[in-house]
Amino acid sequence: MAISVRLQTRYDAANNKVMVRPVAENPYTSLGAEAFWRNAVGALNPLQISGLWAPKFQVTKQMKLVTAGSCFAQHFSRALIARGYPWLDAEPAPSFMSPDTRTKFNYGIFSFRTGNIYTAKMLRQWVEIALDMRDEPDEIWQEGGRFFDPLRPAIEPGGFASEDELRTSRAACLSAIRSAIRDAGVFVFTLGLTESWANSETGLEYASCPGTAAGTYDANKHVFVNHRVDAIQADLNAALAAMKAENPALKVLLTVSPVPLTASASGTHVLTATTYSKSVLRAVAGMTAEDSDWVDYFPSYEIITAPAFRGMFYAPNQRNVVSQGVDFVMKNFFADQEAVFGKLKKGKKAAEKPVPPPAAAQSGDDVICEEEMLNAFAK
Amino acid sequence: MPSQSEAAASDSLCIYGDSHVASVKLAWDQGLIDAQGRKVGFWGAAGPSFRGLRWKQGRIVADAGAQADLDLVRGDGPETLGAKDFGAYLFYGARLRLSEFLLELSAASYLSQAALEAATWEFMMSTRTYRFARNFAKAGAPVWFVPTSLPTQGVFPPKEEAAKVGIDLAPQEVERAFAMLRKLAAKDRVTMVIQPPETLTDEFLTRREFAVENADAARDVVHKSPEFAALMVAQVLDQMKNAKAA
Repeated sequence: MAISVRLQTRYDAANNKVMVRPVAENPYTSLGAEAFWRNAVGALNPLQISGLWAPKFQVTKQMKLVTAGSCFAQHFSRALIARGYPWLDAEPAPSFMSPDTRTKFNYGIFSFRTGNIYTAKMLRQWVEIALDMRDEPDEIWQEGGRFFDPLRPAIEPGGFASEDELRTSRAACLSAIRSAIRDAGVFVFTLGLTESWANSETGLEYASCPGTAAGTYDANKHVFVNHRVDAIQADLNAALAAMKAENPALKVLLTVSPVPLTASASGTHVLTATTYSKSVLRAVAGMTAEDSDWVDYFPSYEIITAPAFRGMFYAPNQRNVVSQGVDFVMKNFFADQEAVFGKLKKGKKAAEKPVPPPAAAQSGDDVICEEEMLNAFAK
Repeated sequence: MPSQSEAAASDSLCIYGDSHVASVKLAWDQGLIDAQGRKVGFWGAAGPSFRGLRWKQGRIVADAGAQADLDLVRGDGPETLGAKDFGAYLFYGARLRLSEFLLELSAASYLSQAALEAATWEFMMSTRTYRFARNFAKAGAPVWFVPTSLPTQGVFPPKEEAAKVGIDLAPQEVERAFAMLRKLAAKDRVTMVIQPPETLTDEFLTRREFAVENADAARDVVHKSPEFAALMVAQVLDQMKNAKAA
């Protein structure tokens, strides 16, 4: 009969001896190196830290990827496009619109033109309005003859020309959200904030505090809300459940933005407010991922913010994330995918939206014209 | 007092274009165009040679590779083209393609008026010939522009043209887009003349009756008949007449 005994060795410097002792089996003895700080973090150069994520599902080039949420989600879409993943632009600009104009009018930043969706409550509002589970808000902000959408006050530079234009544009956005939910393989949502502002009468949550991007602040009507774990989880669960009901094959990837708050209205220092906010969001993201096999959490937040990375991915203002940080995050994303699922097979690209030909591409004018001209002019 | 040659030039019309200008020439030769006493000249080149026409020191000049094709069109007209060589200019077809414009808009999401204006401006300015037209107008020349017409109904297109058929826009959206083209061109003092509704089907194709001869055999959805060209040029000449009267 074979007996297995695990031995632990320790060097006793005082006596210059190697001590060997048997160790009893316990849950930690069978864990991999990644479970131990000394091996997985402490002994490594920060850029060697890896394996931070064990993805639940493979993100393939056959899945249409939708991105929404806080600013950091934009980095995801850019990195995915750069690697040939079919990022879904459900509210596209015409191809002849220049990159600068697209950015100015907020096209191609997220999969639809909601602008940043900072909170779970805002996500729930957008999803429920898009899926006709709640009515569009009547509230519209007017300023200097221009019209602003309280759900996305910064979406149209200078505001809309009329209420009708605002509503037509919002309808296009809602339609884009619907099609994005229905067509998405993976919905990437980046949680950004717990702090928000709402209308105390209607309960409508705003994208930003009235009087900042647009609108007029009214202390009697506008109320500050710092969402707590239970409320955020309820909103997130409701939004995700509504999306899943619309698209049963949907998978969701949650992230938390590592970008600190610009300002806090909580009455506490912005640094402690940031820690509170991000901790709450991180907890909700983790709990939500734990509860569903179709929801996963990718730790881009930790990759940027963990002390092991020494703040090296922040710009000098200690807020903006530098491009090297984004690259490192995405490198981890793809490496962790590959570690679990293997390399993506080549030649399995999804049927992407055909890229329109550049303006100078050959056209009928070019190729069917020689005889025409000779016929007309050569006499 | 203008010199005799300047007076003659002031009453002349230059029709500038790519292969689409052929239909205008045929219409002219067939007597379908009443130029109202104006001297009419042609300038341009077809196919890839059209891209060999460039802006250089205030004039349009041809690359060496485009020279032969230009010579075919201009006949005894000027070797290079400036804003003062003719009394007025009509840029015809010339790669400002309505089908590309509308197809891209139909593939895109709703654009606010401000976004449509910005996008339309970029579309126009991305077309070299529009920049030529704008430069001529800036130099004081009366300028008209007839963009390339929409594909012809009922002609089976070759593969590269097939994707350009099928505009999914509401009529009011098409009119909004056309109005924006006219408005922005007017700001540049260029009069944009877009094919009239009676030449179009409900699917925003050019009616079959305006197909170029032999369109089916050549699978040519792009070019149009001399009758179509005559119709478009007549609009321009009427506008020129009215402008002069005013």
